[in-house]
Amino acid sequence: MFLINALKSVINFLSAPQYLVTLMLIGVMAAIYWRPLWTRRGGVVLFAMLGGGIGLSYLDRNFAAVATLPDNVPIIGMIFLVGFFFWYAMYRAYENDRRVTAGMPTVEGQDSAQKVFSWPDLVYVELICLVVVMAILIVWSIALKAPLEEPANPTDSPNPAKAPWYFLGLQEMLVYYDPWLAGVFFPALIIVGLMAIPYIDTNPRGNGYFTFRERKWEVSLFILGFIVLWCSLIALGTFLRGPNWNFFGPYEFWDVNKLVPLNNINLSEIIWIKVFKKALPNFWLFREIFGLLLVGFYVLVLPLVFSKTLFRRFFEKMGMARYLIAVNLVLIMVALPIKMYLRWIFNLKYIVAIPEFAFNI
Amino acid sequence: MPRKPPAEPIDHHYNIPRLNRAFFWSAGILTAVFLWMVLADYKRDWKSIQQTFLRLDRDKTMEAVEKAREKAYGEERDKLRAQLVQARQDERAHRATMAKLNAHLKELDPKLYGADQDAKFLKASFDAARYTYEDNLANRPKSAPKAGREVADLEKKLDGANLRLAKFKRDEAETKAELKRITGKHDEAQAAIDKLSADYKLARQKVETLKQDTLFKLRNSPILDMVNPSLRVQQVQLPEHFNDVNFMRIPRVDRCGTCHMAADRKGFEKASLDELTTRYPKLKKVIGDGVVYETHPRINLMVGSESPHPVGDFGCTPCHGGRDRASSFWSAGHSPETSKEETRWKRKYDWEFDKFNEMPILPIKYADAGCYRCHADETNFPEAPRLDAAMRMVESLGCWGCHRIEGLEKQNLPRVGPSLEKVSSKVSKEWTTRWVMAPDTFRANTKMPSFFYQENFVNVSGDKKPTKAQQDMNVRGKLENDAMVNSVVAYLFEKSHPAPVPAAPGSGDAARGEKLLASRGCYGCHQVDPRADAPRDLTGTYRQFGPNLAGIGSKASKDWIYQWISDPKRWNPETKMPNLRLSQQDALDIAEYLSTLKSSPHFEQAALPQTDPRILDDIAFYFETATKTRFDARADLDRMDLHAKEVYTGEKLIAHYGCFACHRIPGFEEAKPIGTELTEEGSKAVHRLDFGFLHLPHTRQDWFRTKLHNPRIFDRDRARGWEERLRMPNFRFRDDELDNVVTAVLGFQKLNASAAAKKELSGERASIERGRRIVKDHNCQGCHVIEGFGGSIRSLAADPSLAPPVIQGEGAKVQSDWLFSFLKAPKTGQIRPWLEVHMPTFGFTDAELNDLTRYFAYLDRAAYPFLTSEYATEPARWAAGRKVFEVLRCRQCHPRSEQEMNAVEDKSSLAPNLQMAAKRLRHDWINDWIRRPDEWMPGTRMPTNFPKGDTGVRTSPLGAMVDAPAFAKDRAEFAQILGGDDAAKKFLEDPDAVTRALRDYVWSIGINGGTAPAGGPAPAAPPETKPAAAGARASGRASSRTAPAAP
Repeated sequence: MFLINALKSVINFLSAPQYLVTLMLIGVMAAIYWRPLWTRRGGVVLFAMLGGGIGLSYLDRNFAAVATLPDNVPIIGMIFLVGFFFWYAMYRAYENDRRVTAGMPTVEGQDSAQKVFSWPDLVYVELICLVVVMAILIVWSIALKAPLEEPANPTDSPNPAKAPWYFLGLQEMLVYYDPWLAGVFFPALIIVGLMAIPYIDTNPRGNGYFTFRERKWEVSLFILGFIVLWCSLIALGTFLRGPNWNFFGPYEFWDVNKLVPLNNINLSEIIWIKVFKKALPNFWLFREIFGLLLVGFYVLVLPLVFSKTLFRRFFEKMGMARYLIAVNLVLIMVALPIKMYLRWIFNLKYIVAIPEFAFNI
Repeated sequence: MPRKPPAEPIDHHYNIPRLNRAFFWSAGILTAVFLWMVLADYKRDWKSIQQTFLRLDRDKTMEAVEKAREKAYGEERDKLRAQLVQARQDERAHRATMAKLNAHLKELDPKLYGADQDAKFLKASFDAARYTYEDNLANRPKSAPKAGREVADLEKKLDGANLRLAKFKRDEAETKAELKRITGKHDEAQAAIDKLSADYKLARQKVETLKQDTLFKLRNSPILDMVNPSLRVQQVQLPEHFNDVNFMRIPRVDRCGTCHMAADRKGFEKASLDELTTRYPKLKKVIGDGVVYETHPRINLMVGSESPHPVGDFGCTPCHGGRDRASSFWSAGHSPETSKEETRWKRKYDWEFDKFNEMPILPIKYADAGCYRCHADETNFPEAPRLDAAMRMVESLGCWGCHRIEGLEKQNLPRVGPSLEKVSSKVSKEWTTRWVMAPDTFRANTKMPSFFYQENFVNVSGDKKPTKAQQDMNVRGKLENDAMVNSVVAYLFEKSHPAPVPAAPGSGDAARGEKLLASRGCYGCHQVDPRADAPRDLTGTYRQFGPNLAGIGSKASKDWIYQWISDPKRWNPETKMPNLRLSQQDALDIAEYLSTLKSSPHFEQAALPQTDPRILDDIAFYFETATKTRFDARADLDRMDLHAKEVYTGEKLIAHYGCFACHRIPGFEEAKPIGTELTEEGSKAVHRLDFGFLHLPHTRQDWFRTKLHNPRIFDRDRARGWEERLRMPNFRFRDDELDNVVTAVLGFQKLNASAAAKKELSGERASIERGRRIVKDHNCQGCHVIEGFGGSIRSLAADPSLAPPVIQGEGAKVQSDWLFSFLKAPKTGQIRPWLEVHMPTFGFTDAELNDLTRYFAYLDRAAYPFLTSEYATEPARWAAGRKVFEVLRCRQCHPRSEQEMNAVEDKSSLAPNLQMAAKRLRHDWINDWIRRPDEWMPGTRMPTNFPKGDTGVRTSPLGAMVDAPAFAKDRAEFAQILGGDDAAKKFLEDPDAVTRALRDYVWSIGINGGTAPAGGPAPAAPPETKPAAAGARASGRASSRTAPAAP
């Protein structure tokens, strides 16, 4: 019992956003390079651990209270589904890479040499899928009550007030960024960026088959964006954010009275008051000049620096316009974890804080 | 033509037979799941409940069938059958005539039909022609004459047709009448038999409709039940009651009747269900505990169509709470009363706690809470005993002093505690200190709650073992409370107005005082109960209105007590204690006795707290920094000595703990209440209640109950300074008291209904309510039974006639202006000189006196305020009345003057002095009272002289003896007075005449001592004003409550 409790408190501790995001960043990004994980045996072990861990966690009262809520059940499903397809894609990619290295055609390449009829080979399989999915949906709708709550009351919002599950990643971003950035600018950029991918990524390799070796940067970036910064934040928002949007470990009781200090300061305060020991200048441009310079450096200078160093290969291949768009999109995506770490390490509120125009970064 | 086989075998990506198998199984699973869905959708608890109820209803109806059958096939039927047979035999003789008549009728039928048709057709043509004629007259005068001729022609034809028809009809009627003469007896017997078996047939038909046969099963089978099922959701729409869904108000639609089918039907009461199940043991298994099949237990008050709250207008959820549109046990929001019930429900009904249901059904023991939101303007709740008790507690404990409660705020209640403006002249500082520390050690059943040395100061860990830090907190908490108690007392004594207490003029006799305390009526409001566990009872008896007097001698001096009881309002003009008009000696005796009542040594010897200067300094510093900087505060405190600091801190603490809510304290006359407003506490969102670190079910009732049981409990495991800790004092509630107060708090709800649904008090009802409020605030019911409640002191009187009178029908009985002056300044010994108990002088204002007189008059629907004061009478009737007075020996009990009254040694055998009658009583009441005192006041000592005869009509006692030889002399006298023996006999046998005569005599006693008729000879007999529905009025308060107000 003592051991279990100790383990629970370790997990509770490690699920705090700062550790969870770090673990995901390091763990997931390192794991994709670790070959044994992406074999059948590796998959079995992975799912045994994931399923066993979550399954055993149901024995904990506090965990079960949150995880069995009808609206949270699909998120448990999402963890397994996303995990499975992640593993499956990597498994296929490594398999193809092995074959290509050995001079054999890819699995898909070999497969597409053969021509078959759409009936029964395509439509029959789709029909079976349809039937199975329908059966699952019906069972689900019978077994679980619709998650209806009390009538909406504008003067008395629920605590925690949570967005629909698919927006919980965005809601988590609101903790770190100003609403107009996290709620308006970033979501718009995500959509525009996703639409732009076919025009930016003109690399023909990997078309029609799984591969990792041939597209290491692209796959890694996708995994970072989708698995680490999107799906894991949804899971975090669902299971680990409780009343008052406070963080609660998976085995912790959601106590409404829990208090967490939010003592954050702006970059301008750090520089002017803590470093220079001077009063804040009154004029906003003067006051925020360091933050503005920093942001300017990040979005304007850094791409150029990278074009000569880290991303030289891409710069040469893609050309100026495509390169700049791509790098800016990536930089803005990476800005989320950067801001997270700045918050956790320096209690940084805003890099640029101009309440005069409601403009904060 | 067979298809050509492919040239080469078709290459497949998948193994097709495997896909076929997969399709087979998945399709099979989908089919099974689909059936499951249909069944899951079909199977509803309410359907099986309705089926069971149908069965129950059928069994019950079958019993009715049996009874009706007995009636239908009893002896009477045999008799009628015999008559029928006889009639048939008689008919045989006329067989030929009947055949002829029938043949004639048959022949007549087509003729009649044809004539009728002719007449109808002609009438139609005539109407059309007349219209054409009128049209021509207006628009085409030229063609009018032709059309006119046509009309005249048709009219003639129509007359002819009508005449023919009439002839045929007459012929038919005559033939039928002739037939009837022959078959009449036969028909009569048949009709009688039919009538006899009508009930039986009806019941049989009903049983048929309740049968669950194949058709029933087919109608209610899955999928087919969409057409016209007989099992269906039953609902009532309640346009006056709303669901408040924040953006709009939606009319309620109650579906409770879907399962509770018998709620508004009589005949399924628990007792009759029990009886039924003992007769049909099989049924017992089916219906289980069967609550759902029961009639509403208060069907005459609730739900019933004859009740004031019919289900069609009020539904169920507006009072009980719960989700109106729900049709399952869980979703309706049923709330278990105990954890045992909760376990049972979980097992049996899949019940689970629903945190999203904002207004679940109130547990049955708190069901009375549902009444308050509509009846908040009323004073008493006789139909809802728990709510009545609850509101009496909330009012008398002064909850409203700290917590604003709109309904009570309107009532303008007086502060519940004594004024502390002159506290230093009344009690000692030591006594006050001990009292503030722990009032219950002085007086176990006091209403004063305990503020200090509560759990969150001296036992912060509750039931758990304290940690070291918590032990330190406990030690500090005790010191803090010590300093607080001393500070509060210091302030009270510092600011107390000086008031000299003169020495009592002599000494009294304690033994006599003890007797006087009981006999003068003090016990209507007070008790002397020195027990250490004396129970508090604010709802069962009215005798705890005032404080328990045990130990009073240790609290106040004899001189003070003397001064107080001689005239309480002189010491404190606001006090509710009335003046009993004690003589000096009486007051001295009582004061002597009371001063011998000493408190327990336990209280006397309790150690007084010592103020720790540092702790006091800390507390004072906190208050100082509320308005000053730390530096100014420090400087201020440095200027004060210990006493000044105590006085300063005491003032702030009185504000902090809200002592002024109950007591008048100098400096706090206008202070605002400190507690949470409770006006809508019963609808407060549960998540707004702070459960702290305690794990209880998250319901309002659990929180309220826990809070009231131990108001400081939610501070457990908290590490806060004294200023942040909970402040509500501990009222030491017992379990039954908790039930009451929780009911009240749950009842303070938002009203989600239109104004039409609420009980509006206007006009006479409002006046009655104002009167009730005065009666309640002055505890009149401590001594008197009013509207059927109260009279607690009566239990102490050996003989009920020695107790204060029962007030019933008072408005119809006494004149309002007499009542006004009596209540303003009651005089002792005028009406009932034998009473030792005194009606006290309450010092009512004129407004209150008007409210009271109006209250009594309106309650009995008596004329108000003006009455005829001079009645003239016929001298003969008056003289006859005087004679009756003598004959019936009324004088034996009723004195007619002071002399007669004083002549009697044993005054307890007397009845009221009639000298007061003309001033005090209503003229038309007197004769009604004489006629039927037993109906006016059941149990009265007044004999029922005019008993009800066999027919239920009152008879005159003189009528019975009018022919007796012993009465002959009196009869002659009556004959002489009334001018003839016949008149005398008629008079003596008529109870109305006798009582009217008596009344006229009694009336004259009050005016001229009964020596002459009042008002001289009358020109004519005055019209009798009959008291309206006096019988109903006299039969009790229930009728006056439910009867509609007079227009």
